[in-house]
Amino acid sequence: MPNGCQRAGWWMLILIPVILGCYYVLYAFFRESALFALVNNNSRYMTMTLGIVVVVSLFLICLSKEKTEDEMISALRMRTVTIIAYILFFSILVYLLYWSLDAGFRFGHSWDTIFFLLQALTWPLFFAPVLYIAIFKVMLWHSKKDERQ
Amino acid sequence: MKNNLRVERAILDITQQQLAEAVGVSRNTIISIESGRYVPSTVLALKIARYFGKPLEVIFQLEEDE
Repeated sequence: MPNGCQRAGWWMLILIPVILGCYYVLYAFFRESALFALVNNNSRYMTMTLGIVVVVSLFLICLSKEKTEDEMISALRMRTVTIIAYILFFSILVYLLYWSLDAGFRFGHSWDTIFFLLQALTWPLFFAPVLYIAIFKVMLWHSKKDERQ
Repeated sequence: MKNNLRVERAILDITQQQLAEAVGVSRNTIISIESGRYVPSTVLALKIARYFGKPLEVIFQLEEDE
């Protein structure tokens, strides 16, 4: 995706705290208003929408090109993906080992345990792009340090 | 892999930016190649060699232990 998509992604991500701030203002000062009642009654849709916006904006940032996208940037991306693969693999392994015992104690060895584990495994959907952006930007910044000197 | 990109640039009296534009990469990539932090692909190495009009081995050489 072109570099413009990255800017759009950042703007969408900035929009989240703004929306949450508006919700807090409504909650703090206009709790009796019809608008707050409308928002509060549809909070499930609001949470869903915010979740989708976060995921879409994170993927826009991850998948769009830098201003000058050359082979060194591609190599940096590849290295970042490898690091994330290691982090996710080991964290999921630790998670499965630790929580499968815990969930086993809580729900017993039943389908509930399996559903509990699978439900919690959706977190990499948020975690992976956030990690990718953080690691890639740090590596990019580090590689551009010499250029600035 | 070591290289004498800096020397070749000095001979032709061109900047990192000029070389970067000529071979179609960013200046940051040229800086990284010169400092040995990044090993270019075969295509980029050949483009650089062609730009300087010299064989590849003159600009890029393998280290003793490679």
